[in-house]
Amino acid sequence: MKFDSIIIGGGIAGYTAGLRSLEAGLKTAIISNGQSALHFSSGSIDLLSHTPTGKAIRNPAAIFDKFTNEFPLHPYSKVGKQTVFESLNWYKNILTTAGIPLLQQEDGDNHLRITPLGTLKSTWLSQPYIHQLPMRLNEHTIKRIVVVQIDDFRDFNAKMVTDNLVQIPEFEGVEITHTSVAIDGFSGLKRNACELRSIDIARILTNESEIKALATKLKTIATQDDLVVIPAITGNGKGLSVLNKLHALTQLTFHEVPTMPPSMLGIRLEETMIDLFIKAGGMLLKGDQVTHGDIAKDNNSSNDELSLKRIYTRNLESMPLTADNYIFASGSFFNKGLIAQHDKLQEPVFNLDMNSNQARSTWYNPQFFAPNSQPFLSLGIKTNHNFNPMLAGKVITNLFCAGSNLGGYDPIAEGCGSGVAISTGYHAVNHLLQNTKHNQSQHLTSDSLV
Amino acid sequence: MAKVTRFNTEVLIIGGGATGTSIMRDCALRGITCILLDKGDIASGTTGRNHGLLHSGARYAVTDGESARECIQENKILKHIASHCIEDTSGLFITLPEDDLDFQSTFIDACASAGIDTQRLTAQQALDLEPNVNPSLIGAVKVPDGTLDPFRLCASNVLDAKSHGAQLLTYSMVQSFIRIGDRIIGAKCINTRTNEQFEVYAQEVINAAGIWGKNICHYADLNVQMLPAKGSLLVFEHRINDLVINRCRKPADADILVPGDSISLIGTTSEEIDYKDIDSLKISEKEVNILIEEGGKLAPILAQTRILRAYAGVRPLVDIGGGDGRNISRGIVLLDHEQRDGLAGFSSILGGKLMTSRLMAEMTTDLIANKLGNATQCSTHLKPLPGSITSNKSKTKKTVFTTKAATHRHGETAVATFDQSTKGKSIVCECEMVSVGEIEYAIKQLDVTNLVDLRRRTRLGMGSCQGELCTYRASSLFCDFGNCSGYESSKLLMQFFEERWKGIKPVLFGDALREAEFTYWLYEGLFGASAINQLGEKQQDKDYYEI
Repeated sequence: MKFDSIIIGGGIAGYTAGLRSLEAGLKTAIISNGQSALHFSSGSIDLLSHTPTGKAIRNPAAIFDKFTNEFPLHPYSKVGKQTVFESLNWYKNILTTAGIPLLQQEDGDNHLRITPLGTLKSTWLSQPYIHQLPMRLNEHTIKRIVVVQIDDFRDFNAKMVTDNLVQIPEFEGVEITHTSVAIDGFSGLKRNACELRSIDIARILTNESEIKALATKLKTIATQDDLVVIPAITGNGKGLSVLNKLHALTQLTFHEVPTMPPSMLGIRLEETMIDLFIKAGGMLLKGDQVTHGDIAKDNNSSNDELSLKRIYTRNLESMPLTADNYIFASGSFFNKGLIAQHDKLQEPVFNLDMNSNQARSTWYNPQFFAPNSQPFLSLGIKTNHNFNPMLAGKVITNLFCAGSNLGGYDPIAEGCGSGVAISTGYHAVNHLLQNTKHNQSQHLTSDSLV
Repeated sequence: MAKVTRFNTEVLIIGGGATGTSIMRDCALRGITCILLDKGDIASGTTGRNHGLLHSGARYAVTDGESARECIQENKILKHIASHCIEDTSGLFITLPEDDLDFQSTFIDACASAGIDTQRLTAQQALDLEPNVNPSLIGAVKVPDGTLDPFRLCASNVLDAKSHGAQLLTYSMVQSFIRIGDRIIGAKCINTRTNEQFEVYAQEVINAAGIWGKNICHYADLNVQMLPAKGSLLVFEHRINDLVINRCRKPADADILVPGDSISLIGTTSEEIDYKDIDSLKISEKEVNILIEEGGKLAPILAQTRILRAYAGVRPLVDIGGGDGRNISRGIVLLDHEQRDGLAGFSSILGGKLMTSRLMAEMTTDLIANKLGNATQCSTHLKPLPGSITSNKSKTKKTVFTTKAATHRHGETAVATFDQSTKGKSIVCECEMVSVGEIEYAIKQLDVTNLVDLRRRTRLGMGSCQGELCTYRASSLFCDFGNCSGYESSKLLMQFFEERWKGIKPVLFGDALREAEFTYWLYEGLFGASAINQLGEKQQDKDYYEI
């Protein structure tokens, strides 16, 4: 099978690249091996919340130039300010059009979200039922917070949220309580309701009468002045429609927090992107995995450069797939995009060069929740300024890396995982288009010579 | 001055390992009142940091006949009194092509003179019994080895002792002894969780603190030389072997592979360490590599099996004349300090092994009972522990998985008291089948104060997910059953992951790294856990990155 572009990896970077590639009119395929990190993500888009040196960032746009000067090897510095913000606006627009509005502060500041532990974390774009607290927290306008416990649901602990929130000095004077609500549909189940996961509840809550019953109960425990913190237990193919209904019925201000996996907030993003990709004519090979590829000398290049000729997948063993360009968004260790052996790091599909060859004792910090995060999060594939990876030092010109298989940044400590995924996925397509134009113009030149 | 809580008892036992808890039970069964103190949880020292091997004694038969005889004697007793802590798996001593096959006969003869049954097997017979054993073996000897769950053994000792009036004080540390002339009459102590100080007055104080016993002796101005020898082990995700596998040669590094519930363990290395390092054991890359390499010789499948974590313990050897950690007899050292040093009211029970803990307790309690004028005979070798008393009819009863797992862990009597409601029966830890009811029981009845204690009592979080999801669910149960605030339960969660991290760091590659990345994404990326440590601090402008 022949494509213009093939994207390896079905996470946020892969789908961004896939959608952007389709938009550019290219025949596009995504090869996705199962669930992505979106299944345990906040469903908010982090742009940049901290520098690699641990300083908190209020307004990413305002400090961006200073940041790229100071940290020239960070993926954002390679992508450039204009493309970073262009890509995030583009992402925001397509998701909003598809029914998942992503909202931000008017002044471009980050905002704080309340986490499932009752701590605060900074992010940039959030879904509508995420309450955006200002970065200058003392400017918040909250009067009362009611944290809702769903009876028997063990993957969210309202007491923990409440008891931690009350310790935040800026919430002094805010009444913070938790209360428990039963979901009627639990009683008729064959399963033990105490073992239900968020996605099981989301299935129950697609039923109109369940939504109405829940709305009635919520109205008795909170008023319109309150911020109602609820676990994210709706979605599952329905996007935001269930929450929209709950809101219409109660007029309450909700703040959704993700639960233990699966995170319905992340699943909403993934389902929307898959839907958009298929509707726009993309070919999705779900549940398949790229095993290896043929890499040879790049005939278009005068330098000692390489080109990826074809790739092989587990399911289509004898039928290699070919494309002009490939985007490699295979994820990090958890997704098996990177492999750590006891004596070395490895990229398992193409054996690409890695950004570190240091001993494994350098991969971690003594403390798990160390203030300076974990070094293994910054390990990844080594790339040039166009995000082309290398094989034994030789650049592969038609392969572009995107997302968390890249090295040189810490998606968690810097609060930039989804931002890097979107901007590098988007950026990869820009480069791939340049490659395509370059090839086309070469064809034209040779034609005109005849 | 604040009033200091004062306890009075006949015997104060310091150290809640296998020896200390066995003494506690022995005293209680003889009607001697006692209080047991441990600076941490029960079984949190060396007791919980070894193979969990029910030795037949065969390992020591050639080099240390006395230990071998003690082992086989206790082996038989434990099978009777602690059947719920034991899997009677049998063990193989295999001879590989590079080993001397002649050693087999020496080994079998030595076993015979120690009273250990052996059965010589052909390579094929060994493979039929244990398909994962190295197929290149040239011979094997079957012995009555098994597995012994040290956590369960200690918990049962405590449970039985408490039901006979004994008292347990965990997270309680001795700060100094109270003396009148040449007699110790008690100890000043502190609760390390609440910082509350208290005093225990006792007629006899027993130092059963294992390797930490040297420090305890220091408090009494006595000198005992101990030789800390670190032994490291690796835990594998699956149960690879059903029989214990040993090498049929003189004891060496990494030559015992033990099955334990759903996992297998390879160990140990042996390395002398400084006494000052006994509380901060580090497992080196080299040790991990040795364990993987040598373990692969016992069962080649280890090379493809995921490593869950590593851990290390310190052998509590008493230095009675130098040598490296392995050549010293693991003999029992009972010191009557009145006789030895002229200090009355104080004894130390040192050395020994998990296998001989009951025997050590019997010897110590005999000594103490004599001093107290108590003539009751020891009965710990005759009376089964609470979890071992089972009726016959239950064996045929159809039970759910959680009940089955919990019955193994706590015995039938305890499980019958678990909350049987839908909520009580719901599963919290899917890897080890731990229910809400079992956790409630552990928190309320088994002195569980945090998630690490809970892991030791129930195995929650010991399985392949290493507690990633279930500990969050379990942490909320500390609010329900342990009077914890939400803040405290989130601290428990973080404490659990920090503790777990110690064992994961040495093996942070392959799937262990994948799992750690997932845990970090979830708890730090999604949940913002590290901010718990800064809760209560106001935002500061200086922390911001501005132009």
